[in-house]
Amino acid sequence: MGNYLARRSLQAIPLLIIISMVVFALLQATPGGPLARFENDPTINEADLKALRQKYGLDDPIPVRYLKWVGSLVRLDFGNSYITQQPVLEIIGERLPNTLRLMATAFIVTLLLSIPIGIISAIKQYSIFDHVVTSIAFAGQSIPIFWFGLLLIIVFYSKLKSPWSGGPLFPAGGIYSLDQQGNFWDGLWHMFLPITMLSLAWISWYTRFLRSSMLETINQDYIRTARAKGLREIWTILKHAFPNAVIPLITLIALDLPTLFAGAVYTETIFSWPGMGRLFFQSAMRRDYPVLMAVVMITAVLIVFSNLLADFVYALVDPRIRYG
Amino acid sequence: MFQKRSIQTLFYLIIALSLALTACGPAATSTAPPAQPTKAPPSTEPTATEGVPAPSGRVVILVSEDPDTLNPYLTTALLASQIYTAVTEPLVQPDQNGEYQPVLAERVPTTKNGDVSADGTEVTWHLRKDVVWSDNTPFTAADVVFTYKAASNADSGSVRSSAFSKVVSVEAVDDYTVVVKYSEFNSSFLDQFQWGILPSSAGDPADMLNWDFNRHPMGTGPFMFKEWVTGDHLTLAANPNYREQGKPAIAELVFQVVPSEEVRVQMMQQGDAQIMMWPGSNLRDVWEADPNIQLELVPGIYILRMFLNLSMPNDGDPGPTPPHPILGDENVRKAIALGIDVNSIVNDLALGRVTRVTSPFALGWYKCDVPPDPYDPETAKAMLEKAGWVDTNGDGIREAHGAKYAPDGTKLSLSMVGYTDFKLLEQTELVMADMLKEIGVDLQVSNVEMSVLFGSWADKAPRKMGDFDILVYDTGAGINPQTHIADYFLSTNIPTDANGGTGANYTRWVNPQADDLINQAGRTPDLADRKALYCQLGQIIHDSYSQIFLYQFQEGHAFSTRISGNQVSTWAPLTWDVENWTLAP
Repeated sequence: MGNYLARRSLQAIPLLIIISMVVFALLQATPGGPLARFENDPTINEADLKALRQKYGLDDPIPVRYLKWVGSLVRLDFGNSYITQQPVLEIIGERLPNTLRLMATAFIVTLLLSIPIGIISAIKQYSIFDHVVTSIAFAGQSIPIFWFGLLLIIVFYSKLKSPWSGGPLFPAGGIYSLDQQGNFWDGLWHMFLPITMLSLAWISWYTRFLRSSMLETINQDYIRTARAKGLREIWTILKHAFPNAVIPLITLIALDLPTLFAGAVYTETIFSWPGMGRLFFQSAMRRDYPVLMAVVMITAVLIVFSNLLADFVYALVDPRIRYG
Repeated sequence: MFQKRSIQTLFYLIIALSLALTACGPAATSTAPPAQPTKAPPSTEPTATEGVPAPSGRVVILVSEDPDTLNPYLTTALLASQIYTAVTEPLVQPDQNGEYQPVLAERVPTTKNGDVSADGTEVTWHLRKDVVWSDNTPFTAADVVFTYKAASNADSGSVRSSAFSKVVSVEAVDDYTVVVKYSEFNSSFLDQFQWGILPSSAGDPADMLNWDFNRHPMGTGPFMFKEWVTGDHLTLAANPNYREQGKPAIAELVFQVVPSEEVRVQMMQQGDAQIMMWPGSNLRDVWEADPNIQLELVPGIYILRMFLNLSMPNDGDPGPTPPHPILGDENVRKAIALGIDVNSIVNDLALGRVTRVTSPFALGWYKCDVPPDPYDPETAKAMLEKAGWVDTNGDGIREAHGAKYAPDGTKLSLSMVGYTDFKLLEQTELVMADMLKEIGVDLQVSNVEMSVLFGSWADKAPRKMGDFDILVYDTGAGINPQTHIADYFLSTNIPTDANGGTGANYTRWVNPQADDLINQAGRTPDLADRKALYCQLGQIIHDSYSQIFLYQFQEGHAFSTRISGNQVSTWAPLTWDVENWTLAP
């Protein structure tokens, strides 16, 4: 097992190098550049631009720039943003806690709600509950998420008022109110709408997945055996069916783990949440190569290793699977 | 037992996951001030309902993204200037009418008051003696000299170094007198320090990119930096050491980052924000319907215009020769101008929310009266016939039959390139294509992303290489139009291999008389004399039809009616007069 893990980890290295080369080349190939914002500026002239290009090393050929980037990356230095001059890791450090807080909470809410809902839908297949859940799940998968977010704001911010303060029932966005920086309850209040927006889509997927996985399990022979030997239905489900139905969920969870880092652009944009998704989008628009490369590469590493993690955990919980 | 183990593992996994994740909450808030538990959700409108006893209140200004920096010499972003202008002050600054007023200087230097030498190469600045920085240290001539050192040094990362290229020296004669010497007259000598004076305590002038000042600036202005939560909000607080007693009247300015325009509108309507910067023109009906919000607009400096390429495109030569097969002929260019009903575009398409413009000299002290062309499709058709462009095959598009440059049979078909994501521009282009079809000119509209259109010489952008027929975009001159005019109209500013692609004479227009007028204006210190030269030039530019001028946009912001005492200016950012603002409860 240890052997297998070591081999898989080593295999990931050339893969990541290829990813970095492709992404770097693609970024440089996109039209415009970090200095394009100065090009149509009447207050800035060619001499200024030339000096800036030199300052940022944009005149070097692409392979040279790539090697320089790799060179500093080896020392774990992602460089400084072309736009704000801050170290890239500092910028990510400012945004990451916000994203983790939002995404992880939404993820936990998703798991807590979708596991029981999915299982009940499966056990009570074709009941009214199952039909309602299925309809909501399909709606949740099909509603454009930004539209749903705006709808939440119009209803819960603009229309509905709080019975305590007379102000809006929920805030329009941000992490805290201006006067309540760091207040835990205020933070929770601000998270409610974005989490609703995020979890709707997630729960829709997860309940559907769990429902079919559970359906498959409860029709297995060993469940029939358990029932036949007189075990009560609730114990049959909880002790025998549930653990086995949940195993495939591990893959799904592992594949969603990188999202906790990468954030969600739409949710963060609609709810003014200063997270990684917006950072990535803004950096892409500004052609801020150092920030872009860092976010892409960290996400790539997370994807590669969460896949590895999925395989590893799978082998731990399912003795039928062995790697050698 | 496998099954038991698997449940246990899963159980532990979930526990570990939830622990790891819940740990993120407190960790993120640990740097903030101690939390005060409240039972009810707090109000987001602290000044009105929660009754925080701040008599002067807080103005929340909605912005779509963070500024890149708060150092005026590291950015040209308009957004950053809206913020740093409340903190960092210039020596003099144009007011809303385009007239210079002293700020940190005691008076505006002119040849008349003796502060500007006769040839304009020596300018003396007398500084106010009652100014202190927000940390209560005195503002002196040393700070002006320091600003020059940092801003003029390209290695410091300054994006303004070329603005100081004519400066020979900046010297402090005494604590409150600075003499700036120029190698030759600088037509923007009044704007030399328009981006503001930096405190000499900011750091090493050669290492500006790494200053702490860039994100925590200190200035002499009515407000001082308080906090910046990246991506969320940036707060400025009233400067207690500001020189004018009783000002500013407002305690805090908060620039709140709200990326979604729809949400910004909701926050304005709910009264959670007092100013929305640069709202789209599609929102005007929203403001008109809301009695608590007022849109305040002034003409902007940006003028939408067509750039007609006078030189052959795609011939590998960015220079002015050989001529463009179609647009090289002045009569064709004029016919195109006569074939466009600009008044209809202004009134029917843009609903009068833009102003028609006929020359680059459209505003302020240098505004010139250049009469507009009439909309006259009949004359346009006659001119095209005469120029050898006739539709013989009846497809509605003219072909060359004895045209000046084009071989016979060439179709009168031109491509027009603008930039995407700007609805009014796209509509204007399509309407113009329709109008030109009437006179037998085929106009193919294809827009590209802004960063592509404005690409650099190194990127081999079509604009720089002269590989286009017609471009359409907006640009404009500031309070001193000289640099802009020289860039766009001087024949030596055609981007070519010889000059390394510098300059913005994208139409490849060569006119020796215009060159003379531009150079002469650049040597004239007196503004009235300069205006006369500009107006002569304006007519020549108009008559060349190398650029066809369309209209000028209006710019401004949406304000809560609680704010008064403010004045939106064409020539300065939102916060230029923030010390005069008052906020009604």
